[in-house]
Amino acid sequence: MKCDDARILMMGPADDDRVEAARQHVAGCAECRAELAQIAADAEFLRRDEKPEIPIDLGTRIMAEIRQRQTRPRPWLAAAARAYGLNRAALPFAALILVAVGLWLGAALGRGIVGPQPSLSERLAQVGVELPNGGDQ
Amino acid sequence: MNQNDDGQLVAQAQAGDLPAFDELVRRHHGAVYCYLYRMCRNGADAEEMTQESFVKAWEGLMGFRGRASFKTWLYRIATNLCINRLSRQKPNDPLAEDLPAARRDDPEENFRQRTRREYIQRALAGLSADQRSALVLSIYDELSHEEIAAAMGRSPASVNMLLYRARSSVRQFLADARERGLI
Repeated sequence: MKCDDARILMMGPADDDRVEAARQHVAGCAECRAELAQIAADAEFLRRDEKPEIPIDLGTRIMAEIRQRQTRPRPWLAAAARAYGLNRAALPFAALILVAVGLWLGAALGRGIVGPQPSLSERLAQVGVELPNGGDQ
Repeated sequence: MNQNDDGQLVAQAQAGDLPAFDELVRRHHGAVYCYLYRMCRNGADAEEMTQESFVKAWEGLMGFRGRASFKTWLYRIATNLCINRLSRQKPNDPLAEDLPAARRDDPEENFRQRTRREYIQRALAGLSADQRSALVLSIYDELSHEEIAAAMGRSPASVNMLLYRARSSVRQFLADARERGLI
């Protein structure tokens, strides 16, 4: 095992199957032992860094922001309202009208405003293609 | 802190219970802030990203399936936000730390503390954002290897690699400082 591979494996959890091989390499490699010992000492140096001071009202401000965003209309909805000159109170009615139009359109199409689509055999017959079994399978 | 308690609060929050989410914010905002502060070394940026992380968590709570703990999921959101922000900065931008005022009356201790902070800051500033993230999560947040992998959306093998590169780079930087008698 190469030094770099062993050192990388030594960074991971001890239950990794390959760690045993890395341990054996490190046990016989003075350079790896020195490097890993220094890395561990430097980690201790970093750990001595003081904990940052947490702003006292940060949690309160986070919740205030969440509550404010909850009451704020979605940006696309607000833009649509502005574009059509609607105020916020009218938005639910506008949405209701849109849904009603959609339902009416769906029902109208179902009743055959557009009409049933011809089958494949009918469309082929229109262009003069005769099917061997006389129709769609 | 009990992960099961978090699970119950998350379930309540997913049902729209804002006070339950408020409790989750109360439990975790300090840890998220400290992590982000250590990533960017700037109080205002850390505050803004902490707030944004929790807003995103609230908005995306229905997508949280509980495969990882809530805390790890939160760190994932914070990590993505922070790495995106840091990647937009110029590569050689130093981490602009706003050092807090000295807290002790002992000038010698204040000097030592300030020097240590400065070298830690410089050592971390020399790392790529994802190396720094892995190192901070490992050293200060004491996340397990699996939790770091989950928080960073990486494989455990790639976390090993990031940690080794980060620690190696810090070792090199501090060795130079020691050689010059600076620390």
